[in-house]
Amino acid sequence: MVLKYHISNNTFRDSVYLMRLSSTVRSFEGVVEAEVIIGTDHNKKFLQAAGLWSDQMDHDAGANDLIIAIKAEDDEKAEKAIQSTIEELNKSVERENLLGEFVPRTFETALKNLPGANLALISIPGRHVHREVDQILDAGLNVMIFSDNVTLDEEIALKKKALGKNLLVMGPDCGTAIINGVPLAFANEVKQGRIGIVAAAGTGLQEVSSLISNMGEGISHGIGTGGRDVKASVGGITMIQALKALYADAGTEVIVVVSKPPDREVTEKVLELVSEATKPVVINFLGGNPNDIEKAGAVPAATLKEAAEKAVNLARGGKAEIEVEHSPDKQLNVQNIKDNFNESQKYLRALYSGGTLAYETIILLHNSLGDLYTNLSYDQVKKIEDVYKSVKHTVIDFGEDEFTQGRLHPMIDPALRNSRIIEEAGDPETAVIMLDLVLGYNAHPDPAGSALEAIKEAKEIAGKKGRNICFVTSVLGTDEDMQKRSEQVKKLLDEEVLVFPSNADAAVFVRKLLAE
Amino acid sequence: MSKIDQANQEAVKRMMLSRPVWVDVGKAKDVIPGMKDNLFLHAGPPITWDRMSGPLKGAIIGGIIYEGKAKNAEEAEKIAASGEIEFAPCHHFNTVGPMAGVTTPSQMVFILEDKEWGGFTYSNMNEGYGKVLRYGAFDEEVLNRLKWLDNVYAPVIKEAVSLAGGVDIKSIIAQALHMGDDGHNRNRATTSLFIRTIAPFVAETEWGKKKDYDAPRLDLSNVSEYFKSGKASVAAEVLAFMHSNDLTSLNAIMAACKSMALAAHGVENSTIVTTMSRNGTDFGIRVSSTGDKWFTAPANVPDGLYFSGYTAADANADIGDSVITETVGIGGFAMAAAPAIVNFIGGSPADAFEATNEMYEITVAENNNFNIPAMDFKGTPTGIDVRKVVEKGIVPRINTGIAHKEPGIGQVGAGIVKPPMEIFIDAIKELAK
Amino acid sequence: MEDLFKKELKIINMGLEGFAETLKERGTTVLHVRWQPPAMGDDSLLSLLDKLK
Repeated sequence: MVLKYHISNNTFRDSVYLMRLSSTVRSFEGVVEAEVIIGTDHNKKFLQAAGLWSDQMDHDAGANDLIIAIKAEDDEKAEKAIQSTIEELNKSVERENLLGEFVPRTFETALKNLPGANLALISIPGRHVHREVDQILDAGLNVMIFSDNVTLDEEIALKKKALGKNLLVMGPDCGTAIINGVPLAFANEVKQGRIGIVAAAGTGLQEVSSLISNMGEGISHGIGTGGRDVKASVGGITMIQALKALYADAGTEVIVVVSKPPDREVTEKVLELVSEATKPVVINFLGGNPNDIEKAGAVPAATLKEAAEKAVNLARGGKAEIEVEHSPDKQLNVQNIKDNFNESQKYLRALYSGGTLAYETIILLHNSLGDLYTNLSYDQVKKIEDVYKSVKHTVIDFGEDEFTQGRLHPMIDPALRNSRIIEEAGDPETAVIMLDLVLGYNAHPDPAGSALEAIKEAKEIAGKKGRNICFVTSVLGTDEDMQKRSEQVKKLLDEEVLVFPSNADAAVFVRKLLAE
Repeated sequence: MSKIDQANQEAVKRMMLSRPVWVDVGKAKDVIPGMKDNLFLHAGPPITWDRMSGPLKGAIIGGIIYEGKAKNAEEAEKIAASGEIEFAPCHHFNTVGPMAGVTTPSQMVFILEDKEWGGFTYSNMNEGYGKVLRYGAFDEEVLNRLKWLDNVYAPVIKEAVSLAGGVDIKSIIAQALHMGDDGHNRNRATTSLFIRTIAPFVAETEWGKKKDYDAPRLDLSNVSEYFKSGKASVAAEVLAFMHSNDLTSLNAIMAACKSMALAAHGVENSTIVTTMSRNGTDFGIRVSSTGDKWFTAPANVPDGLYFSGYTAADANADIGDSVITETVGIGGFAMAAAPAIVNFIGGSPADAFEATNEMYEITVAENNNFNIPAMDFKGTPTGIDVRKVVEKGIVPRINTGIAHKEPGIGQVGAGIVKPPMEIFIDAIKELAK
Repeated sequence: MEDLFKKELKIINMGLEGFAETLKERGTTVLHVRWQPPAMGDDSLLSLLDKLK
């Protein structure tokens, strides 16, 4: 076994590209392990852990250099693999040139070539965001910041600047937006229509917009604010700008707000604004108190599905006070499923790629399922000690930082969650495995297919030990998404996996199954 | 616009207004102010004999013999090392020279006048290909050719340009960019236009009518058997030589570019690069607002295609003043106008567009005289801003010939060379003081 | 900001190229920037450059 490495100085490539390249390199002949990775301190630790480290790397490579580290069967194969990797790296530049497309290297040049640009979509490393967005705001563009690892102070400075210039900053850590029918980053192909959404929760925006579209209504705009917008220090700047903009937008007739409970002062500001609204506003503060919402004259919704249904009803001229059912498919025989569990099977293992959906499930289940553990922060629920080891009822969000350092987001690369599915199947206490399958732009091309590979193996493992695991899923998306929701659903049903129309429906079913 | 941005706009405006016209030819020590006996000019930033690379040493040795100060290489080397001859950058005398760029007191030089800003720039006569002084060769063949150039060729074209009333070199450059040249490494069109312009006047010169002369006759049989007969007029020989040498116009082009660069120099607060140059050991730049200060660092070895039998191990480090072309927005910066150049330096035509496009990132203007048809007549990227070079991590694009590291062997290939980023960083540090 | 809702979206994408690709496939006007850390990631150089703005 030989470890060889090559440093490409002053070379930068985006994280998705690098992970795909690493994967390609691993498939080269004779390669046992490989990483193509930026030489940050953090990544160096990662290489050490992966057994791809040589002390000389520390000296040779820094945060602006690319490390190609390859472990191969012999010297020749390692060297060949390194050369092939370098060829691959140079290929991407060639392809652009052959297409005759001009690829600018900076924002300044980009703007010269697209002078009418009105939105910048930023997914560069967090520590560089402030400097770049500062000049982008100077140039008069609105900004969507997908990047995380932007400091709170930087976020506040950028949003204050944007506010002063009547520009919108969506984010940081904003994974989803829909503007003028254009889906940005992780978003779904939904109908255009009269319902506007403001969300401090990416998959929340995705779930609500998809449900609305599937019900036959449409989205005017879906504005992401980033998770920290509703903190007191940020003051809800973007949320408030977004609300005002939707009020003023002639195409928007109903507004939906989705967020974790804002800090007190921000809730007050938002509700004050809402109380003056001339359009109906539906608010889901994910576990927050509905009373204040009602007092402000807005329509509270306890789940994302409820928010979607109420908005649709209001858009169609109906009343706000409708009953929204979260009941399992009445054809499902809950008792049968319970009877199929053996004595040891007691627990839920909920493995999520969408953070908001995981959060919603915790809200819906924590009162009924006593021993609930999670890697998310939720006051009334215990934090799990080891995120890689489930304890009793466990809800894990695989999109959290502890999983995504040096890895692609689980919505793009489900490998980590898939391995976990198989592990849970080996645990005699696992009764239910719950999954979200998120479709849409920039997500995995076949989430159901990928999960099913793991599910089949899981069923086999459990089956050998006489266990029947109940697989519960919801599929977030539309038929217009490239993954085609109805086809994804069919795949799952064909393998006897339960599919629910929304995450809340799935969670309520699990409650029926395990809590009663 | 900030103070520096305004200064840069002013500097590049002056650069683009410069109008260099070839007006005369003369002996270096007679026409170049400050030139004297025992002073040899060379390409690149200042350098001492002990640090010079093979091609430059060879050219100096050849120059010493040519000036009659030594009979052979051994003697010449002693003189060179002794300090008896002063060495100075061509640039210090508003002169430019390709490759080793050695310009000696007796050599004849092009004289260009900037008709907009006044002032003169100079460059000697291009020798052509193969064993030439500028690659460090100095055998009898080389010295004889130098004599022919200074005693036959130069007087003819001196008379011709006088009859012509001057030749607008800037206009030739602009037209050549529409004909597939880049002005630095592809000069077939510039030379064709040059010959076309001056030829009628060459035919009219007194000198041109001669058939005999004292200087050694040049062997032009590779151009045509006709020239073996010895019956050709000097005018015919001169024109035949120009035809055989695509690089005929290069030295005049370089002097024209020097004129444009000079026009941009000395603007307070400006961060525009006004000189880029290499001496085979170091790469040096000067910036508009930092006066005479050179920012230097070791030059890199070019990366490219090698002629049969040669490899990168044979290559000398980057050398020559010809990168004055990139300094004013042509050469590698106009590569998209000359995609055929990839046959010379390697790569594909798509790379030519990538190269030019990248240069827009580090320049402040689109040239209002030089433009690229294939890019919708977009002006070439002009006026390198050192701040942008450092901020974006993009160094100026240079295509270049590659010299053998031993003197006298000549060109061994062609390719791309990167100036060291260090010198731009040093410039920033100086500017930020 | 009002412009954002009324006009056709013209996007400059900096970072993950995948985002630009999916937008292009959809027919949205987008220009991808092949971004690199400024001043080669050297903070001391960056502060010098900020002095020379």
